[in-house]
Amino acid sequence: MKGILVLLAAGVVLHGQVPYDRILKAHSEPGNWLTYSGDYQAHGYSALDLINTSNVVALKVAWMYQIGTTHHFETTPLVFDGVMYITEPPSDVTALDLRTGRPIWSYRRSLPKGVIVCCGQVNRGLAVLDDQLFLGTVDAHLVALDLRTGRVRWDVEVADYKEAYSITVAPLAIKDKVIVGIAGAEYGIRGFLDAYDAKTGKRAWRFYTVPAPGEPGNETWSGDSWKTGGAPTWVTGAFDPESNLVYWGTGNPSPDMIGDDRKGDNLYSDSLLALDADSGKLKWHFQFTPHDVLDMDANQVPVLLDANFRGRPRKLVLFANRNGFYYVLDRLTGEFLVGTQFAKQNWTSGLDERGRPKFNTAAVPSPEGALVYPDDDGTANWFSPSFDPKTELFYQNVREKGAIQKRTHASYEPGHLFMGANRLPIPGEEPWGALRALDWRTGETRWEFRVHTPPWCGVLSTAGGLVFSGTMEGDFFAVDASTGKLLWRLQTGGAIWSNPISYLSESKQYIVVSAGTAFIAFSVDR
Amino acid sequence: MLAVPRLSHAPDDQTLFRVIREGISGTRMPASALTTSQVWQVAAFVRTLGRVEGSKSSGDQRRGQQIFVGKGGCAKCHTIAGHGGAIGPDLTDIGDRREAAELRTSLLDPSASVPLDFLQVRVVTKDGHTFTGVRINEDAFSIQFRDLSNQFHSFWKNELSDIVKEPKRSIMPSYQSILTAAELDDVVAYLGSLQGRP
Repeated sequence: MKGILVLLAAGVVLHGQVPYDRILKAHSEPGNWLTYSGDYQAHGYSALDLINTSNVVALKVAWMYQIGTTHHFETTPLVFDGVMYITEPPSDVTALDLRTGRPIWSYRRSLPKGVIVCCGQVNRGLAVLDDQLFLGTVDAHLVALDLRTGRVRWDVEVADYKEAYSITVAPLAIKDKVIVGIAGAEYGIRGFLDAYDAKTGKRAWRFYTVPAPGEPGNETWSGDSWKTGGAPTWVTGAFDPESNLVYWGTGNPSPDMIGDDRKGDNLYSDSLLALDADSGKLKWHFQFTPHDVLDMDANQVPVLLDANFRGRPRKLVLFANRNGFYYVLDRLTGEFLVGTQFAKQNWTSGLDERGRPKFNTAAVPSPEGALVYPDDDGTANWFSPSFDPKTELFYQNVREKGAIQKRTHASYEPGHLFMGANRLPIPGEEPWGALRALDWRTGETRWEFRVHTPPWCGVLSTAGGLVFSGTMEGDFFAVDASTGKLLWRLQTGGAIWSNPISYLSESKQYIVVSAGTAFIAFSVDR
Repeated sequence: MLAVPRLSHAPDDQTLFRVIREGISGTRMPASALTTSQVWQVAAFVRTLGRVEGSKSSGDQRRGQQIFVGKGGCAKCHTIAGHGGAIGPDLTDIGDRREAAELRTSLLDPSASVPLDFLQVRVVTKDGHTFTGVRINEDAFSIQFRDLSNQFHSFWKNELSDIVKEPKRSIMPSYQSILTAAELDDVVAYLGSLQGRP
């Protein structure tokens, strides 16, 4: 975006409002980052090119902000009108001045003791609509904050944290509603996706991801197992304004890793859902991993794409799944179009013509221990992919790691772990990772950039011909988007557990990411 | 800071007890080696910090609220329950923190006690523009503040020719000549009734 001007007097920040229409047209203001994935299509792509393959070698730290806790720092910021809004673990928010990196205000949540979160008291980000920010909390509340001050407008309970319901996901604001998901499927929650009136906090709709008796899909659960069936919704989805459909992934069925007492496919666990944004009614679903006993959450970011595919224009959704397969679906109907293995796996011998996996019965947790690829952290996870319209490549961080899965037993008690296997390392095998560039049409790998250990960092591609990502050893790096060649790196000193993004401030492009307890902004001198 | 009516990590007594005994996970606050009764004693002491007895005023709370948002123009600078300006302190639970007499003094002579985190600053840019507001942040190289219209400003100090700090001056006007005595009573009564979110 060469030539973009910042029409502000030096030093003066205009606190704007972010109406729905502005988020809808996020592409028209590439200097900002208005939703978790940058736009409703969830491309995780920046159209800025001031930092590019020619000058990225000169990228250096512009400013840093430090947080005071040691929980994983998984935030993806929002940026607009001269201010950046980040979440800090466990459920706090800080507004940062883009000029200096200095805090403008902070929201510090009062959390009760006894909050139960399987995998860290973390938070991944915010939604904005009009003059409010929306935060999900680990004690399972949804909070609206005044954009200018961080002061609480409303605070509603989404679910009971004492039963291990928690929120780590960044909400998604659509029209006059705030969509928010839930976590807790390691504890036997009954999952759902909720929408709340942005002005009042009143719940507008709830879609239970585990159907009750009498509802379609309940027949895929034996007995009363649906009551504690899991299927959480802890990664932000996407939205297609034209069809008015929200696309959102669901996670593992409960009990996790053991399926004896929940016979059947266990809908709508491990699925992609297409829901009407106004009513929450299900338009279609696609289940990637039926009757999952390996924790193959489909809690990944769905990427929406309008493109010519097999000779005709189609509305598609691209999905790199935790189970090791890359999928392309028709996003109006859910029709399965492509399913390609993109990482090592042994749990299936392949997908049939409708995308249903053919299971390897040897790769399920057993008393003596079964060898399973990937392990229960999966090949993909919550960290975001990125789609670059210029290279037409889908960039995905991949975890190459298996495990010996030993079967145990699971019994339900509210607020307690509800899992039926233990994970052991594979003797003599060192897990590794890679940033892979997939041909979006086929899922075939075009190039890969190997990293030492399985990553937990998202990916950002930019119009500057770059792809940014990071490692658990603290390296933040940029590679050529076309070739995967390393062009720049910096050792940050802290593990990177977040999605990088990019924005423009005073005519300079910045790349930001959190690493360890630091939030770091990078730029190049002009 | 413990001298507040509500502690962010300890909204109730049981939680405060656990915080003192076990520390706060993920932060630098450690667990304590105190006995159970000592922990309860510390908790009881901490609970007394920042609280005042219920404020009393002969005024009418309902009329006070109307003056607060209307004639007094208070909501332009102060927030209650998430709504209002950010120039002055959040008053959502001011009735828990200040007695009626203190509230009255603040209304009549705001400059008598200006909190340090609401310092008034005036800056002059090198091109001659002057801006006034309440400081949010300052370091060796930059300063940020919010002006009377709640607009946020951020300057590098090398962009400025002058920075004037006015610690004994409040941006808030005295209400001595703005409100009648009865109206003052009403506003004090209203502020005293603000005990936090319902």
